[in-house]
Parts: sequence; C-alpha cells; structure tokens
Amino acid sequence: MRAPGLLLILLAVLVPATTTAAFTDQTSNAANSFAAAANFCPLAGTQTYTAQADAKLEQGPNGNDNYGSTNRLEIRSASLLLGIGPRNERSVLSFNLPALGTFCQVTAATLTLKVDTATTGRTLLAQRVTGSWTEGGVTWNNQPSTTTSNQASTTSTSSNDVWTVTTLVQSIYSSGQNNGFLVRDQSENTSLGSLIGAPTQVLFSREVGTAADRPKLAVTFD
Amino acid sequence: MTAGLLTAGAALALAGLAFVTPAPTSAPITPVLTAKASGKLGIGVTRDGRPLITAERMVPGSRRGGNVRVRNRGMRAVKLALVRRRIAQAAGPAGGLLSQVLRIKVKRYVRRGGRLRKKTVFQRRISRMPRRGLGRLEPGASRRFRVSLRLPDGGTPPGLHEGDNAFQGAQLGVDLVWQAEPVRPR
Repeated sequence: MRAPGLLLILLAVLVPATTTAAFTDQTSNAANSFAAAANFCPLAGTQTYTAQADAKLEQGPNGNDNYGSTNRLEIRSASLLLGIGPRNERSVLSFNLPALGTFCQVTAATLTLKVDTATTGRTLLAQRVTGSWTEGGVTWNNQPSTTTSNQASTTSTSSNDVWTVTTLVQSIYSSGQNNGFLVRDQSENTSLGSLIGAPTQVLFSREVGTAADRPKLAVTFD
Repeated sequence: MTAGLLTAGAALALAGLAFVTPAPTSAPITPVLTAKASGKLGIGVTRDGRPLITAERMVPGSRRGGNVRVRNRGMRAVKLALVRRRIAQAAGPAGGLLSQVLRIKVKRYVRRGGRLRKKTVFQRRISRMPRRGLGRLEPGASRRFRVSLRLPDGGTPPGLHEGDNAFQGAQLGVDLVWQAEPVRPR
C-alpha cells in the first residue's frame, strides 16, 4: 500500500520538472554590475589655489599707480595728513577656480594671506569683487566695485590672516562672476597718515619667491 | 527520471558549443555563445553567462548598456522573455540602495528603410521587473537588443547625504536571464 503512494508522490514532483526541462531553455548574462561613484563630485575634498592676480591699492598721491608686480600687499587705515603722504590701502586678489560641475557644491572656503609685518588686533574685511580688474592696470582710483553682502571679517595677527569666505565663494559660483576678493581694514581713516604709525598689514603677494608664502584660497567641495 | 537526467547531461555537454555570428554593421557586439538546453529548444546569447553591463563610477543621469543578440538555435519557434533574477547590492555610506532607483531599459534593433534603429521595448525600475516578454522568435532567427541601466538624476540634493547623494558609493549586481518557451508553429 505504501509503495504506490510513494511512486505517485515522486511522479507528481518529478514529471512537471522533467517536462519543463525538456521544453524550455534559458541562458543568461550574469553578474551585471552597476556601481555609483564614491562621490558624485569629481572635485570632492579640499583644493587649494594660489592667487593668479593680486595688487595693492594706495589712496592719495599714488592713487593712479599700479602695484601689481610688487611682492607685497598692504592693508592700511590712515587719513590724509596735510594733503600729502599715503592714506588708506587695500588689496585685491583673484584665483582661478574650476568649473563647479553638476554634482559639486562648495561647503567651505578660507582665504589665507601670510603676514610680513602687522598691526595685530585690527578687524579686516574680505569682500567679493563684482567689477573686473587686471593685475597690471588696477589702481586705487579705478578700483573695481565690491559688495558688502556676506563680507567676511577676521582679526589681524602676526602670522597669517585667515578669512572664512565660504559664502563669498558660493556667490562667485552662483553669480558666474569670478573677480576675486578685496581685503581692507574695517575702520579706514582712523590714523593720521603713516607719520604717526597708521595700522598697517604688510602681506606677501603672489610674486614673493617662496611659494608657501603666496596668497591661498582653500575650497572644500562635496 | 533516468531520461530526464540524460537530457540534462546532454544539455550540459552542448552548453560548451560556440557559434560565431557575422559582425553587425552598426553596433558591434561580441560573438554569440550558445547554451543549448535540449534537443528541441535552444537559445544563444551574446556573452553567455557573462555580464553584459559593467558600470563603475556612475553619477546621476548616467547610463551604461550593452548590445546582445539572442538566437533561436532550436527547431521550434519560441516565446522569448527576459527575467531579472538575483539582485545583490550594497548600500553606500549614506544608506541608499540602487535597486530603489536604478532603471533598466531594453531596446530592440529593427531595420527600417535600410537603416538600423532602436525601438524601446520596455523600461522600468529594475526592482519591478521580474519577467518581461520579448515576443516570438522563429527557429534559426535572431534578435538584437540593447540593454541599459540608468541612474536617474533626481535634481539638486537637499543635503550632502540626501537625494541622489544617498546613492554615492552604492553597488548593485544583477543577473539577467533569457528564457525561451515553445510556441505552436505558424
């Protein structure tokens, strides 16, 4: 009684399988693979750029002079003394930045200028330049326009002046205009000319011999 | 049962046979290898048993595909189908699984007016493609397809680990099986 029952069960299991094997066929393309990039932004990480143009701008009798080829930048707060001598000084810098691409965003950016000599404790501003300029042509009297929107500030030191310019760099990308930065003292005209020790920052420019001393913009992309 | 085993053995023995098809005119493909499972039916496919698509460092919006020729090596007309089998995947650091978004697209090469064109047969999310019929294939006939996988571009992600960014570093493997079932001759 048990043997025919087992046989029926075996037939029920095996016959359909055997039939299928005889009348169907299959083959495959196995192990297809699709891997997403570890980071969709090819620039991901922190990239450091050296200034590609910079110049100091000197107000006063030298207001039409260009200082694009000197190896120092300056920031000074000084008012005119008897109509002579230097007054305020500012500096402009620009950097070649890569195209942002579809999958990148700027998550951090710092502008670093190495100090030669300094008046410490001054509040220094970094503003986004909105007008065009050239290293060989820019002067105080034709200095480009800037925007105070999202301007960055830092306190001057005797080693490096560092501004967090994340929103400024983001604005550079969003505006499509990369005219760089202008750095200046927050409170200009506070001292009567260089004769009585106007607060002055002397900073290394891109023309300085030691590459590590040149102005740097570090941008973190993600 | 014995007959079934013999059939399977014959199928395994035949599986190693290789056939070379003429080179296509417009979209190059590799030679067809035939896996013949029985004396009555048999289909061959380009890169038999091997991957058709190997895509690395993909970004949103990118697509990677491969051309495949499926040939009916048997003596009966068959209904052809493509089946998505095993999906093996690893999430990226942000937790996104590619099966949630990856789309498969199958296009068939057709010749119209002397020109080879591609006609979309179907496209859908790969996780929702268990089996898809591809029509009838007469004995000795072949059909060419382009199968591609695409990571859709979901637009600007709201955060570094959100939106499309959730899929950074994610990986997916999938087996595609070409099936043939007999149909009544016309």
